[in-house]
Amino acid sequence: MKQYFFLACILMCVMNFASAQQPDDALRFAWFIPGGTARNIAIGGAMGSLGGDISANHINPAGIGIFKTSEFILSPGFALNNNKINYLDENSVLKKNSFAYGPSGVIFGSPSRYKSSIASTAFSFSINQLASYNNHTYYKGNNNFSSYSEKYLEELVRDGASPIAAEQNYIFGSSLAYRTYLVDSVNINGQFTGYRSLVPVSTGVQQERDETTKGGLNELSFSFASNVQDRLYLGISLNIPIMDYTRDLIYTETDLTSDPDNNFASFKYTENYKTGGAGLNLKLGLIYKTPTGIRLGLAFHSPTIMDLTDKIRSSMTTNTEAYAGTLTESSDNLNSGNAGEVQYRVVTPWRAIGSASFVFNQVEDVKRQRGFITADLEYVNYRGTRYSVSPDNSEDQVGIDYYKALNDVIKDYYKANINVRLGGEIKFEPWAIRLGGAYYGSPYSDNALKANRIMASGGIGYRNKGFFIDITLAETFNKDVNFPYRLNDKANVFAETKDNKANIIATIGLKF
Amino acid sequence: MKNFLPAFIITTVILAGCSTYKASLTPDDVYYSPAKPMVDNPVQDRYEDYSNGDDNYLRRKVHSHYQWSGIDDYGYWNDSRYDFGYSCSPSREVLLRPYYGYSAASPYYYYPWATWYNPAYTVVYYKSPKVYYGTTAKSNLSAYRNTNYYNNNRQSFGSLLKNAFNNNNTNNFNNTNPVRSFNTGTTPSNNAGGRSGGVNSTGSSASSPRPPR
Repeated sequence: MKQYFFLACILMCVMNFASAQQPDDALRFAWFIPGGTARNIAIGGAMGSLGGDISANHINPAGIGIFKTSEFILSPGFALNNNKINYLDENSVLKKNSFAYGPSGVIFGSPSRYKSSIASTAFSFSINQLASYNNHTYYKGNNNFSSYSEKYLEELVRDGASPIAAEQNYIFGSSLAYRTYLVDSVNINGQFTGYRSLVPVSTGVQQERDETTKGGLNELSFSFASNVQDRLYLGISLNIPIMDYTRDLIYTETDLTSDPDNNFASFKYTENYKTGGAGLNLKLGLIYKTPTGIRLGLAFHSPTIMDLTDKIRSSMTTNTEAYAGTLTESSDNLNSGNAGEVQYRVVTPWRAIGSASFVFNQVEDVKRQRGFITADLEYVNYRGTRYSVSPDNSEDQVGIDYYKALNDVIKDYYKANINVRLGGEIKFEPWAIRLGGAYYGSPYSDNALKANRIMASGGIGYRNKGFFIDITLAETFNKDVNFPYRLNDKANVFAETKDNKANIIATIGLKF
Repeated sequence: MKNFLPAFIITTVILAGCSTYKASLTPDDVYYSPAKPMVDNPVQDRYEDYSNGDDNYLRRKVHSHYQWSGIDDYGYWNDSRYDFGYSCSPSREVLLRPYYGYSAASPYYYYPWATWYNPAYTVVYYKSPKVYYGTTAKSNLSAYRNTNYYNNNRQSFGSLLKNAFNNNNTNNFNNTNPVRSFNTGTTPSNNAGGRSGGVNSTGSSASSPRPPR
């Protein structure tokens, strides 16, 4: 019985293989247009100096201090992704629709009963989807320059891997390729000299990449703000970001020739990759409101410390025709049916937001309120993401070395940038019309990699009899690059992606 | 979408019926957040000025005799039969003498807030089993430093120049199948890549050798 128990313990422990985190993963924590209420998105997300909306919890918590009333808010939404991808001069189109949501929660405003310097205080809690990962992309192209399999060659040769190591030590990648004869050892005159791919690159292969991603970066926020003499508003929010990300990847290369004797017909690599975990951050902010209607805001978002767990399963099927036939191997088969798992810590970049707005007629009589214009400038240091071993593995020197190398690459590969958000509202009680826009610049330090996010939005609002409803349509144009694989010693091939994402967001609220 | 619209409409109607502002104009806090007029601080009750613990005690007793009688039980607080020491949570001793008898063994000494029902204690906590990495050149990371690009659809002049110069590298790209060779002097190792010893040493049940060809 003890033997079985011991064996079970060992099997539980073998799940912990390292599935290396990549620099690409760092963008998931930082480069996105954050979700907001319908009103917030309609004005381009430029809410930093306005306040008076639950989105302030996640942008500038001082904005909650504006409230002397209380309200309950729900912000459901819907996203329609339309992906257009160009890869090696071939265009692919794919659509994906998904549910989304903006900030939903409660605000409790408490005006002071007695005359004092603190005119009111407010508390709020909300949950918001900062980033949605729900998408489905597909692209293909014909390539006679390089192959996905070459990254396995590079890995094995640069690591100095023996055939035994190639067979056993890379069970989520190179070992699958080696076991299915996508790559094989090279022996010259009986001397083991390296590895070769069975893919006949010079005659060309069709490369296809199909990726389905799910989940989101959701944030639970608890905010407190105070109102000093209806002029200065100070706020702080404690936030718990929750990461839930799943990627299902299918990558295929198919021989473009009809030659049945060239030892290659196709290979297919599939991967299921999950990231989950939670973290903590603080957001601090202030808003200064003048009697003339000018409002100025400053907000600082601390780095988020997140403890995450990655799980990976992968498999490969290769048809090398007469060479070894069709073979399939999977990490599950090599790992007792368990996913590879690694736990680590990520510290995301800090942000600083400077805001200004002008409110026309900030008076109590709602019939005389006319509208506002508002703008935010947001600084984000995308190169500031830092990975480290989890606290429980603090003695793991090899892991420390890996994350140091990863952080060095992130520092070189990304850069800081300034995001711009603009918007305005025209109000004629009980209706309001809003327009806005936002520009998020490229996070890549290499100018050859063209990327940006542009959002144009518009919406209407209705406010009467103690409740309000806002509806917004936001069109986001996401331009980015996608590398199906990366090589050290050959030019890298990448796809140019254009994801036009339409967001329909509705916010309903109740004043109480 | 079919389910979403009815749910949204129903929620809206319910909320509209619940508001306290049904009969009045709805404030828009972005512009102005209304509040009841503030009043001057009331004059303090002079009785408060010289009140003391006994006064407060008497006030509480007069206000609600039964509510306070539970902690006013002389028999309970001075009867050793009800004293279970610090091991009882929450200990009566802690309430009576919060700084008496603390030691390193006391759970209150290190984390007085760390009771199991307190969610703040474990907001971010993960038990992380040991993660193993083997000797690796981290080629997956160094590839990000290769800024030489090959795209049929968008070849910049600079990229073309880089391609022209970078094709003279140390590896032999076979016209048919790509090959990578070890540098001179490299001794292939069984410990390369994943964890030392590979999957066999971890207790994997299915690490059969690759099939012969």
